[in-house]
Amino acid sequence: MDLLTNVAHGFAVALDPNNLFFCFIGCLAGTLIGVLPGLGPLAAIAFLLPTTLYIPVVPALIMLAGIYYGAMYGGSTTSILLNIPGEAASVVTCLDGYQMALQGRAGVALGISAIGSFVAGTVGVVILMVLAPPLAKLALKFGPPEYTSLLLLALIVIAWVGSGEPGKALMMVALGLALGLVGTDPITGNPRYTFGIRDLEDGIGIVPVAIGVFGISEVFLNVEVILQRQSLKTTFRKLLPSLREMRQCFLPMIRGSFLGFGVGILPGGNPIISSFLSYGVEKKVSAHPERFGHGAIEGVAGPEAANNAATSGAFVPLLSLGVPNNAVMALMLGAILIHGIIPGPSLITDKPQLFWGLLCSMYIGNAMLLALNLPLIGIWVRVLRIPYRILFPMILIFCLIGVYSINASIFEMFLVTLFGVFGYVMRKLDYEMAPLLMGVVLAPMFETALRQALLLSRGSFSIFVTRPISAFFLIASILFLVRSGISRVKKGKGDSRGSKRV
Amino acid sequence: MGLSGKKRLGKEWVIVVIICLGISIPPAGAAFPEKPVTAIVAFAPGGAPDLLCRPLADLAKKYLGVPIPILNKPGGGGATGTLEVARAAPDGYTILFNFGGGEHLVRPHLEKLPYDTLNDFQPIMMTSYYPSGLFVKEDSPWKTLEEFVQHARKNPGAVRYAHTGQGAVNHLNALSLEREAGLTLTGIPTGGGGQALNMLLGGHVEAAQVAVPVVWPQVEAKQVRCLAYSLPQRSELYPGPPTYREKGYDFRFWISQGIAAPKGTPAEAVKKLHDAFAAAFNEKIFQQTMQTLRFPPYYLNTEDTVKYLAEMYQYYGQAVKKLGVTLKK
Repeated sequence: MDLLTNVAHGFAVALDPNNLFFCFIGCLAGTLIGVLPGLGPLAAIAFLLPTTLYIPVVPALIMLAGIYYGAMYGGSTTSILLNIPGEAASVVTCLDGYQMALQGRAGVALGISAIGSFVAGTVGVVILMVLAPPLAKLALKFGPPEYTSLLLLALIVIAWVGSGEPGKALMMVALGLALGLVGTDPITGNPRYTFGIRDLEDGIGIVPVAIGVFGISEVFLNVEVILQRQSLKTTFRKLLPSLREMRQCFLPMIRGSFLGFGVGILPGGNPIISSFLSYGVEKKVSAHPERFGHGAIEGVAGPEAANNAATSGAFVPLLSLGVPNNAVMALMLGAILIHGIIPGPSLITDKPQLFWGLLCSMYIGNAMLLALNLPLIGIWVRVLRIPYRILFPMILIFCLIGVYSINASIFEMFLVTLFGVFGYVMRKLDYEMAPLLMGVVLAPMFETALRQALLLSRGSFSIFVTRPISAFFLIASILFLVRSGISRVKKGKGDSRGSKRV
Repeated sequence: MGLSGKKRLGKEWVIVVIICLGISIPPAGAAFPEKPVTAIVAFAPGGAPDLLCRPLADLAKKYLGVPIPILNKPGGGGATGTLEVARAAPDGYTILFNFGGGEHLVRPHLEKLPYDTLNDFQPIMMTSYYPSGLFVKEDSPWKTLEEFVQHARKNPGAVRYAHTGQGAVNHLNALSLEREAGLTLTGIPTGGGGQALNMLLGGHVEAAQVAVPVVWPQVEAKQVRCLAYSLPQRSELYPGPPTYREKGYDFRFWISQGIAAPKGTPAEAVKKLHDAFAAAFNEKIFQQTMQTLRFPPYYLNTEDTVKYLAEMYQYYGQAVKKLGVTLKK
């Protein structure tokens, strides 16, 4: 009952015309930032932070939150239409979304990603309302040992993300892990594998790699085949998924939502991990895993739901503990603190209009985004009709601007170009880039967690099995390995690898 | 209420635009500044230095008469952005907004950096200095620094604390306490104050040594307790805990924040920048922002800033040698 009155109160705050306006501004800005490759929510939120000094805290937060989850909506658009992730977390959407577009189902893919995002946003907000405080406590139980085991599971799952030869995928994972180790040793602070190049001391960023191997190389590949594929045959009539496709996607969206939310509340949890995990899980549970990578609609619905739910999840520790999980949440914390409000366990009782108002506005924002994005699909699809001689240079420029906007680093603009050429060559040789990117993402996280855990236990590996959450993930990893080992042996007896080839 | 806020923002913009228009038709031999001044923050948005810089730049632009866009240039623990300013043209149009942190005063003593803190910069003014503190969970058995020290002395290596990286100011505080009190603690480096706090709240470590302003909300929310912090005297912004100094530990590892231009910037530009930032600093709204964000205000004029930073630089150099801190392990 109490919950209902709180929610009613929250909606009253969120529906205030002034707050609605800021919510709309945030969602619109977020969508646009998400659509532009590389340009992420962090830069946009930082840019708007000083203006929040002049507006009250509730509309300020509503607007900043709108940018964050709006970017997740927009990020999938270029993934699907151009095979270029608009935002790092949308990399996975390229795998099947772009294939769907090639089959003339771009509208359906955009539709399902908007719907998946909406479902996830809704699930996320509901979990937030009901469970935020206890969940935040639970998330704190995630220390280095738990993280190590979770990341081990993630490393095993990514072997299933690729759709080509498993051997080649593993080579790319290994290369990604090696690249991920470049930079400063997280424990001793010494630079390593930097060859004296100072710009490498912070490691090789996720965004330059992602934009390079997916975005830039995609343009190179397309320039080559330009004559064969003048434009994608997208029928405008089919912009919405059919009822059958909706049913097919229902469970993946729900699974993705919970998975994404779970990853989102973890300290340092990154939406990109949630979308990769969701893709791996969907491929694993699917009756026809061979469809993945060739336009499987579940491969779009699940990860899109997951990365959106992760953004709602990230609010749990911020609002109920006052602890930011990532850089975007640190900025949100700044916006709250500037107004003299202290987030923490007492925030919900002390400032109910802020807590419930923000949550309800996120719900309204999700509906707004759906209303905003579904009609836009027709316009986005039209982007494909822009002649390639105009479109491709534009994409290249946006990729470079996007990368520059993150750290204002010229070096990273060279890096993205280098990875573009590298990605082009490797993709010509049938190597996949998604496992490479996952390696780059996971290596530093895994190493830091592992070494911190061993410092905590003073060198004893027993810490990974004596802590229950960590033990759970280790068992899950083993089960995953054993089960896929069995299925591979079985399949190997039927047709050895025919279904694996592209 | 939101609307009235918007209106005020609008009015300020009008003023800024008018000022900019006036300045865009400068007489021959125009005075500084004739174009926007870029303020580099060498950390990602949302960090402690960044939080304070944004409102200051926003307020100072009307005194300076040109916009002051902030450019976050994170990397190398602050070294990348610092180098950018060290190499910038000394014309006053590129300034460093977080001068005086560990990357300027401590790390030059630990490793070879491509800039020289004392000779590559022209300090302009100080804005704040804030302490590093030792924190335990509210339900921890140690209520005071003495109890903590006693326990740690009896159980060498058993007390684990999270800090923000090898050689960071927070780390130096813990190392100094270890040495002066004769303890052995187990340090766990993390990526930043937020992560260290997460580890403390989750019970993965017994203590955390982090910058105080970031964690103070948690003290007020009765989640964590501060045992001591590193300022020369108590600040009314942090009521309750003592300073290390009054507990008999004499080390001075706090984090200073000031503004600097590249060496060789004309005196006239330095003065104009100083006057604009000092006026913004004295505005009531900025003072209030510092209060709510828990950054103790610490203003020094250009001359005193130069002296202060040189003195701190020497002090950290000696302390690092005394403590035997290295990056190589």
